[in-house]
Amino acid sequence: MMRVLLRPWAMPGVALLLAVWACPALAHRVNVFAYVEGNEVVVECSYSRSERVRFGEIAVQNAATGAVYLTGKTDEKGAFRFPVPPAARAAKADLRIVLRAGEGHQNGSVVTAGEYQMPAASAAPAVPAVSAALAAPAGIATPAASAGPASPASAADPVHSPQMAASPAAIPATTIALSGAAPAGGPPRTGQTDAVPAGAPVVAQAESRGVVLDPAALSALVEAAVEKKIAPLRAILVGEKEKGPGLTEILGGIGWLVGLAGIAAYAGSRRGRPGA
Amino acid sequence: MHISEGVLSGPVLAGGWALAAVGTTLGLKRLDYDRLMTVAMLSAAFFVASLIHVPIGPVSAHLILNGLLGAILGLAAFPAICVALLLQAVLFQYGGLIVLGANTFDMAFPAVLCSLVFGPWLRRTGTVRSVGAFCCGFFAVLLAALLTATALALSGEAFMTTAWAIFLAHLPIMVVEGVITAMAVGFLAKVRPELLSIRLAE
Repeated sequence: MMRVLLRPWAMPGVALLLAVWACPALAHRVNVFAYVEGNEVVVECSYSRSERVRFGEIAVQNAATGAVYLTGKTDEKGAFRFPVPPAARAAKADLRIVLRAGEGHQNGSVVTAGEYQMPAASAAPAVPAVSAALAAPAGIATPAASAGPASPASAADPVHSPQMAASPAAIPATTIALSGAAPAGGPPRTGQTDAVPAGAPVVAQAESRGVVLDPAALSALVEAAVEKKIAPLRAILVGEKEKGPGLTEILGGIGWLVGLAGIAAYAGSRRGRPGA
Repeated sequence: MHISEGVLSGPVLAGGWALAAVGTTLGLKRLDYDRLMTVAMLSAAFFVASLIHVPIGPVSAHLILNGLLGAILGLAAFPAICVALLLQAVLFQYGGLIVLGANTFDMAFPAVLCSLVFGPWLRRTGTVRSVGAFCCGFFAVLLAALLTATALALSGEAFMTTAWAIFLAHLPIMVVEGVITAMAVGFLAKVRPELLSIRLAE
């Protein structure tokens, strides 16, 4: 019987698969995941783990007033990135990112002002530390071996930023080895604190290239390193958000339905079953 | 087919709620207490069906089963679908609470309409019954797609593009649902024929 039914529909069905190919996915809901990366906001849109929202319409609004800052479309991979609108930055406004995937699918995500202003805020305290480090090579570079004059000069800055200086110092030190970009911020510091023979070659290298560290470059390096570290964590978060309902929800829902029917049946039996 | 929160305009939402309320009230009035468990079971089937993804070529679509609910429950499909959608909105975040009325009407009205139109065929035997059940499943999804497109069109989306997109995306599902409904009705006719004997128009 089923074969008889299937057959007439099989041909148009197969033919229409080609048409369906170009269609957006059939989905229940769309996921929007937005995060700040440097000066930009990155939005990732998906129907499910494997199904991205391609060319979905994005609108970036002021979360409080609803004023639209900018609009755009997601790319092939469901991603959309935009620089934080200057107007929003000035107003310290939260950004609401609304995705309209068409066919009634819509979702949104909010990026608060605190999130996107953090890079700027953290860059500010970093600047004195870096400029202190920038000043140091001048004193250090020539008498690198004699740590004597350098240590009183830099005695002031370890006082107010020992911990702060520790982390930027570590990162450029590794990036020097990898990329040879040679920002001078890190090496002098290791030169001062550690044994002279270990620090000296690095300082010499930095000096020979004559690279002066730009605060923006340092913050970019730090940001890149942190970004690399948290990328897997972010992937986990996105995956968590894209996960469909679990067994708990499904069984819970069925339990509700059975329970509701039970209540209705109880009410019906109390009423003396008018139908019977 | 779940319309998300915040897409539809106010009047459409209100209209959806009004129509869904009427349908649900009528459905509850018709609801025979002897058939309560049937309604609950089919409601559960509807609730779970949207989680069952059917891989059709490159896309995977999920079942709706509103045609089956219509075929067996008649008007009682309204409360069954309404409760199942409510639970889906709360537990799965599919659709939403404000848009629940519109979503209920979009899916339950085609179910009831199909059971009115094709119901008499279901109480026949053999091929006629199978064809009737297939039509129930097929046209319930088709009408649901059209109603969804209409709701979106009334809220500003271009009707033809939306309707066409939804229609194309759901064509395989229509066929699959038709087949499933025909199989389920065929099975029920053998095992529990009294389930199919509802009279709607009385």
